[in-house]
Amino acid sequence: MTCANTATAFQRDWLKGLRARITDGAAFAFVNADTPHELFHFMDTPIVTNQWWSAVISAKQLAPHYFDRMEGLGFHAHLPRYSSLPLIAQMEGDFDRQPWGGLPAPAILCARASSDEHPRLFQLWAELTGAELHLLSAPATPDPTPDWWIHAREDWEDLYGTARLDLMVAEMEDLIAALERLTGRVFDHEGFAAYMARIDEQERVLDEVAQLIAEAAQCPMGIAEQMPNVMIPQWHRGSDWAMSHVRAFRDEVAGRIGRGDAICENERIRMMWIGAGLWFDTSFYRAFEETHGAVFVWSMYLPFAADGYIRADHGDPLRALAARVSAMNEQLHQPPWVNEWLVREARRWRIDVAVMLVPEHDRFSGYGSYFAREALVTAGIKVVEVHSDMVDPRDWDRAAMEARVSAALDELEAG
Amino acid sequence: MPVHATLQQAFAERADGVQADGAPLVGVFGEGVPLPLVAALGGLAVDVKAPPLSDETEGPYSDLVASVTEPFLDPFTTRFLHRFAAGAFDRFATLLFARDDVAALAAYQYALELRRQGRVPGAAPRLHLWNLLHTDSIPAETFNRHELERLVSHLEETLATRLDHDRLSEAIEAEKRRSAALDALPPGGRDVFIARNAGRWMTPATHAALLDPLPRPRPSGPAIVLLGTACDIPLLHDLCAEFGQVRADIQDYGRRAPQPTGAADLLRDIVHDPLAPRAAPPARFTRALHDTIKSADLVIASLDTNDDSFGWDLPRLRDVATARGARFLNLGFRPFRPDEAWRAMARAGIAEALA
Repeated sequence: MTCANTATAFQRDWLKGLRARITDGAAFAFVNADTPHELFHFMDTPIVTNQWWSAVISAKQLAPHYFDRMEGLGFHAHLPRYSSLPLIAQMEGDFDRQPWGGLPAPAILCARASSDEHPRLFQLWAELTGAELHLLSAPATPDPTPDWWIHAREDWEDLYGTARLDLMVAEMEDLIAALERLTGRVFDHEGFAAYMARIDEQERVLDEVAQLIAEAAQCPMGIAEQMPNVMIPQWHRGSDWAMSHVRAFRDEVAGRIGRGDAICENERIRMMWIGAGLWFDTSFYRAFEETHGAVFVWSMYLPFAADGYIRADHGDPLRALAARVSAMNEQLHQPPWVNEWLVREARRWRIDVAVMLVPEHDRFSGYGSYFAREALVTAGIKVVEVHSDMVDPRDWDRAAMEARVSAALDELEAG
Repeated sequence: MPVHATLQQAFAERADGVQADGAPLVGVFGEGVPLPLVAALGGLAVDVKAPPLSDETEGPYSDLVASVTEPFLDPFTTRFLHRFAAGAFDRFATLLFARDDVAALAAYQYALELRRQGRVPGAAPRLHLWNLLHTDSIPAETFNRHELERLVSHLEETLATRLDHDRLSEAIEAEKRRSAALDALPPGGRDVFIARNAGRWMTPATHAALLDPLPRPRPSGPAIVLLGTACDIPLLHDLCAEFGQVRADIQDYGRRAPQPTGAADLLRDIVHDPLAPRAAPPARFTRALHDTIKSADLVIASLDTNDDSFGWDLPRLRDVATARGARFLNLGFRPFRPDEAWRAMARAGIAEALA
């Protein structure tokens, strides 16, 4: 069994176990991906991540049913989709339809107000379930440093700004107080420092993996396999299982490289997938290997584990966590952060072609796409735009998309 | 109600028609900026979000801007960027962007990036992001104070002046006199919409002097409440005129967002604005929305396709309105500059809703 299969099986079993724990009275949290999961983990409050659950629902091909339902309920058709899919499933209340029997009611909710839909979605969750709502503020960064990844690991105070970090720390302290009430436990600051150090260690292992794959003569593991190996440990970051898994992942990748294994023996073109996963059709990622020797070697999840997560604590792990969280999503989508980072990554991974998912409905993710496109083209990368959605297949035409990417690959090969 | 010609002209020409009379121009994109602060520091606050009416047919077009603006970018942002690249704001000292407004945030980020890349020449005007949290908490209050200090420093530096308490008090009083003059106007109608919004492109004193106090017309016909995303033209007021009276319009440009009422705390009224799009928690916004439609006979919603927030309230709004015996009409997506076909559709919808 590969590491990816192990991770997927772990997550499935974990959710089943979570259901059993909840049935026995345990509380769980439903949270957005860009919130401080570390606080929940450390206070032994299990979390389900909104965007992960959305991807699972989508992978089970259930999204069209829920989005039709969403419009039937009176929500308009242009509302963001990625983060709303689980809410609509919950509103429908047919848990037999949902993957793995659906989610019970959470005890606590947490979202960051990075884009306008998140507070509203979580307000509706709170009204639907009675769960306690925690919203973290998301003031924008007025002076974004283009090469943020160089500064983010150590010099994050200036990068993210003292006032914004003070705010995030204060709001996280409120969240800690809520978790103390919920769990009856006292937050152990010393223990938290050790826990944060373990997370940094986990992300450094993933940094190694990224560098291994980036430098490999041929890609030993495509992005469909990389994603569960990165993101499932990320949802459990700092745990013994996560640490063990990322090490096994690194060893598997190193082993494949050492043996000269390649997912495409005939690799000629290296591609990057820009944007969230295409969760309803992940086989798309391998569609061009036989025909063009074109391999998707890069998605944001692996390299972002290092650049987006490693933060020196400088003696204040809570503040380091604030630095990790306070612009997490923005770095992936907003200029100049996204365009500069993608160009750097494209060069590091020797990318020839970028396929860019442009989600029109999730505007927070969609805005900034064209700056990224321009920057990549200027850097000599061929870019194919895919105007679609990460979880909604209703506008996805697989054959047409394959044809478009194939045409770009043909053009590249023709010289 | 005859609208003073000066107001008509200001409404039509907008930022392009502003006569600075020596005062440095300070562009404002979005609601929530404390305008008396700008005035107290000697600047003339000017809305830069809404383009001149002529922009629809004569506005500049930049290939550069087109290359970096997604087709689904908010049209207020797109038009601003084309105008920015064409130098429409070169005579401004600075532009302030309210992070509360998604269109403003994108406009700031895109303009900043175009300039950073050296693709838009010049260093003027300066660009400033105005963060303000609408959360009732000590951390939010602390952060807001910091942002206010940052704004004051930016304006003092840009306008080469120092904040003076007496001038600030005078500016707030001028804003309150303008507010009182606006209070005397009827709540809806094309002329009121134009007269009220024209003030975005002139001083409060000039605006107040041009607003003639008018008796409120006797209510006749159904009471209509307009809800939705920003609409900078009197489109829906025109459409409603033949059917009833617009009693409230809480779309941006339809409503009057709060301004400071005291020099001691420039932010309190703005922070506590329950209809700010990022009011937190959002239940505050929803409650205020429901309060607004209490006396409505007809509630009309229309949204831009970029809406990320208002749409989450629509189903409950419909339920609340109909439970109170009002009719609810969702006109769907409203184009930035609707054509006659859309207007006809909307007119027919209103007629049917009231039939």
